[in-house]
Amino acid sequence: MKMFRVPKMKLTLISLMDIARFIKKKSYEKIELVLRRHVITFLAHVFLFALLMLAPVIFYFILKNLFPGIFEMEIIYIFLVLGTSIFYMTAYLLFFVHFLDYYLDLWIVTNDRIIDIEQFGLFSRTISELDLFRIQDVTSNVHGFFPTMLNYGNIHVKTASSNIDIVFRNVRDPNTIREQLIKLSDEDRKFHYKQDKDENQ
Amino acid sequence: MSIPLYSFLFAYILFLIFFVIFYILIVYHIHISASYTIFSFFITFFVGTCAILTFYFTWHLLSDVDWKKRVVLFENNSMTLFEKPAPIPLDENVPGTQDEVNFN
Repeated sequence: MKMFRVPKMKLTLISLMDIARFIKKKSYEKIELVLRRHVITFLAHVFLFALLMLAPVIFYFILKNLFPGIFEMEIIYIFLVLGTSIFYMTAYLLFFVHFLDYYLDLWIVTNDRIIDIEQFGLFSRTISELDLFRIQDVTSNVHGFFPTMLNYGNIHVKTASSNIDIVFRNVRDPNTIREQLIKLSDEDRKFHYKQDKDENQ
Repeated sequence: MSIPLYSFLFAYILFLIFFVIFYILIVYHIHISASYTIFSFFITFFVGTCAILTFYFTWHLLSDVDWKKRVVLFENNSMTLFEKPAPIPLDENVPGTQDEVNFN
């Protein structure tokens, strides 16, 4: 039997192409960073989901011990089976919505701008954009035991002219990203300065 | 008042339709946000598989149920207020409850 394996590199390329289409990438633009929240921040939802999965099992054993003949009654049996099924399906949906909330928070850094996409639940999303040359201040902070151990934290990007401040929440390796942002911002500022100078001459 | 059992099945099917709509909506969100990666594919697949398995087990556990049966939700006694009450049956052994009482 022939096995088809998609190389990782190709998948990354597909994803980058999708992202380029999503942000309407300009011809001179190059995607430098694609950041998401650290996966550990999603683990709390995984634990909650595991607890929800266990709840009907525990409930079943409690009912069986307290009322041994309860499952013999047909109507109660039907209600319990249908109820448990609805409970599980709702738990799957909740888990999926939480995953969406986690995974669709995305920060894309190109050599020209930062695009901040924040998903709130299922029907709310905010997208903001910031030119790299406008960046005035970049601060990274790592607070707490887990963030320190696993090296993740927030990065605050502030501008002087506009009132848009972008916060990269719980991203991996915030210090390195901060350095990269400052470097990219400097390069973009030099480019714009040169462009303005050429236009004036 | 009684209702047929299949009305609960209809309610369950309505819930399943609601579930499928939300599932498709979330997959659509992931797709349009350029976030279709191995990780998101795995989660989508996991949730989909769990839902199919849950539906299969529900169907398997309820396969022997006669859905045409009727369930009595509550006894309707309110009409007796407006109807003539049924006569109380007479007991021959208890004096005073017979039609003809012998005073001798």
